[in-house]
Amino acid sequence: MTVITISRQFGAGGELLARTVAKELGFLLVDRSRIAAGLTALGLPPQLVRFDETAPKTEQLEKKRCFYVTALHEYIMDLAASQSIVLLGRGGQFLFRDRPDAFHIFVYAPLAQRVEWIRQLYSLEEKAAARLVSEQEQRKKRYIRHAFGHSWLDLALYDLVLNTAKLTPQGAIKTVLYTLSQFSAKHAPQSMDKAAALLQPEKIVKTAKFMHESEVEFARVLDFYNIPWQYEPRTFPLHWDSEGRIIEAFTPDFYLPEQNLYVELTTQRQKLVWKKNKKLRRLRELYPEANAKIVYGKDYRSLLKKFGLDENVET
Amino acid sequence: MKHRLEPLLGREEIEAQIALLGKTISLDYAGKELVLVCVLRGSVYFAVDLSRQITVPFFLDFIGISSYSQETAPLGIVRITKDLDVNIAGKEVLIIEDIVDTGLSLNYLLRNLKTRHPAGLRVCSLLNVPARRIVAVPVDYQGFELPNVYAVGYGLDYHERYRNLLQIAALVEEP
Repeated sequence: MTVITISRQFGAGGELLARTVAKELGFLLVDRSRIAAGLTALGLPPQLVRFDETAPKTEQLEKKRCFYVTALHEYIMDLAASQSIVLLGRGGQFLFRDRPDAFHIFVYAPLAQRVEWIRQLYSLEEKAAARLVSEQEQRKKRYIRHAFGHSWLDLALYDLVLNTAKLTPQGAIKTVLYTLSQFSAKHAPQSMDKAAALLQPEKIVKTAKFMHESEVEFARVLDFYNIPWQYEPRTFPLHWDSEGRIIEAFTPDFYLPEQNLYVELTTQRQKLVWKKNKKLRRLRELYPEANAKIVYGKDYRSLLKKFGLDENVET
Repeated sequence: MKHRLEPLLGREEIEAQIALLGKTISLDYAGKELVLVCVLRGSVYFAVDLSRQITVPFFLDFIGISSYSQETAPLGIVRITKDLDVNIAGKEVLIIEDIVDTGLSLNYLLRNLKTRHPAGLRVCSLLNVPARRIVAVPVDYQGFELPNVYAVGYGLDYHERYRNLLQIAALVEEP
């Protein structure tokens, strides 16, 4: 059995990381929804779930809150006794501190970066995002301090500390999977072998479910040069019928957030791409703020040539 | 792939342009501590000829970075294969590239060198192919802007061939 605990600052992307790592390793993800469902199924009154990761507020509620925390800890320990889990938050770094088969990860990012991510994620004004981040941060800090009497910022609690602002999401996942594959495997040979097997680059990249081999290759090139990317994150409606239904839309293959650039990859011959060119023109008319470009078959083949990936050379 | 070469830039044209670049750079860097950073391997030819046209003192150094390939290590991340020997902190750095097209490797290089706190960091590239750009990168000094072609010669190769050409040619696929 293995327990991976992921502690995270609010907005640093710990949730996505926990979800992906659990999925890739086939471990049970223990997060808010799993806990709520599990505890309620065991007979805990549903209204107590609101005490999840909260610090004491008023004296009259404190008894209920303590009851919830005790039930929560028992529930988590029970789960981890019978299977491998990825535990998100909830003081896992303290609950499993002395367990040799536990691996503790802390995920953070600079405040300004987290505020920016949260602003984008929830489409908030910057001030509102900053307030949300600070409130959540205070809440978590107080919860841990109260439940375990210790600051969660003590580095000795963690086996791996990640700054997600310096890594692409794929990079963070790869880093964690790689590290887990090196985790003194005697405690959990099977599951950690799985982490090692998952490190084959195509397996990581393919989690994005690409349509074409060229897209897989392009994503690998971007990963290689450490350029953050998202796959088909946005669809732009281009034409509507008289009842306002969308009849034509354009979903560029990639978005490169650092460049603020949408990239459409086409490996078709140049003369067949007029349709895409037309879409691109329409996109620029309707969404002048969206910076987009098409990488044509010719560009793509030049890229492969440059890396020596085209077919054999003949003169 | 069957291919042929089509002439793009002749030897004299290249030499004249390099002389002009050398003059401009010499004026811009007069009285400054200049480090020329030549990016291995294709840029060596250009760096040698350009440096001979620079009349202010400079320090010449080389840097190599790994290129993307399907055989790269499992983690597959770009890395430095030959690092600079000189400390560039507080110095004026000029990166010498043979060609800037996608901007991917130059982007990495700029980010890497910036962390070493040079006083200035600029790019001089013999060839610039903005039509193929994926990542926006600055090219402060350019010899020639090329249309979207695959260029070889004068250091630029195709499967290690054609580096030794004195001219620059476009590699054209043949059916």
